[in-house]
Amino acid sequence: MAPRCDSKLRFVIRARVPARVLSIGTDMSEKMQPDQAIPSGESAPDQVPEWLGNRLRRMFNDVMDEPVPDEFKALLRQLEDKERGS
Amino acid sequence: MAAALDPFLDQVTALLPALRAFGRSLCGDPARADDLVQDTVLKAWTNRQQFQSGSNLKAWLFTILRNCYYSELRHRKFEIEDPEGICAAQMSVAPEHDAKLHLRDLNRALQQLPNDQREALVLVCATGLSYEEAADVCQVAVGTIKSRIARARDRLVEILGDDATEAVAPRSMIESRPDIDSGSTRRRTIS
Repeated sequence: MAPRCDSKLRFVIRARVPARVLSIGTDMSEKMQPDQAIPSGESAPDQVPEWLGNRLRRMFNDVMDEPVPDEFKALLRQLEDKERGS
Repeated sequence: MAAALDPFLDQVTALLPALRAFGRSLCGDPARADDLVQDTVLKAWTNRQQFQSGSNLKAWLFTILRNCYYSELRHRKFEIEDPEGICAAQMSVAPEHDAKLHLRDLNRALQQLPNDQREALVLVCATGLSYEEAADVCQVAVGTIKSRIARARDRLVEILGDDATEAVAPRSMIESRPDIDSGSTRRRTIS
């Protein structure tokens, strides 16, 4: 699946008509009901080629997987304490 | 450990990783992103009465973070012109992996996009918000989100295109395209 998508994209770039060719996907998705077409929580769009969608998600998930710095826990604890104190 | 946190704070805590990731993809700078998240948490806490329980806390927090980001941008207009520096600082961790290189390139490319396109793309394609939720966060119509994503995509494909599967970017292919350029020049010269 992925290689097919990539090779298509390369063709598009070399042929130098990215906007027109790629917007076919956009037009189609615009005719669909977005809330039906895209189950929420999953990443959408056929608007974006698979490799790009994957990379965007990976970028996002990499940060998601990082441990949250302690200063945030401290901050939340502080808010909580302040609430209780007052 | 996090024994008796207020339920609201509890939910906010669960969303901290997503907020940090969203903040980072907006501004490209981890430290600045964390400052944004802190501001977001404080604002969310102060305005928690305005949040209607049952509605989407994630989208609500993203909206706040986005507002923090833009109000901060307004105060430091001159610092947004240096995507290279920002990204270099951000991705200083073990860049020897192809995957890491790809992500660094993506980050750099993202920072070249106009803000409105970047946020639309990130919200829908990275954070997993629906088009409607993204439209709410950005306070625009769903169609606007879609066209911003389309423009962001075209630009990223242009920047990253040939690099999509390979670790080494053959930049010259994207920039010069001798076959097409020379052809059109010749035609122009003749006519």
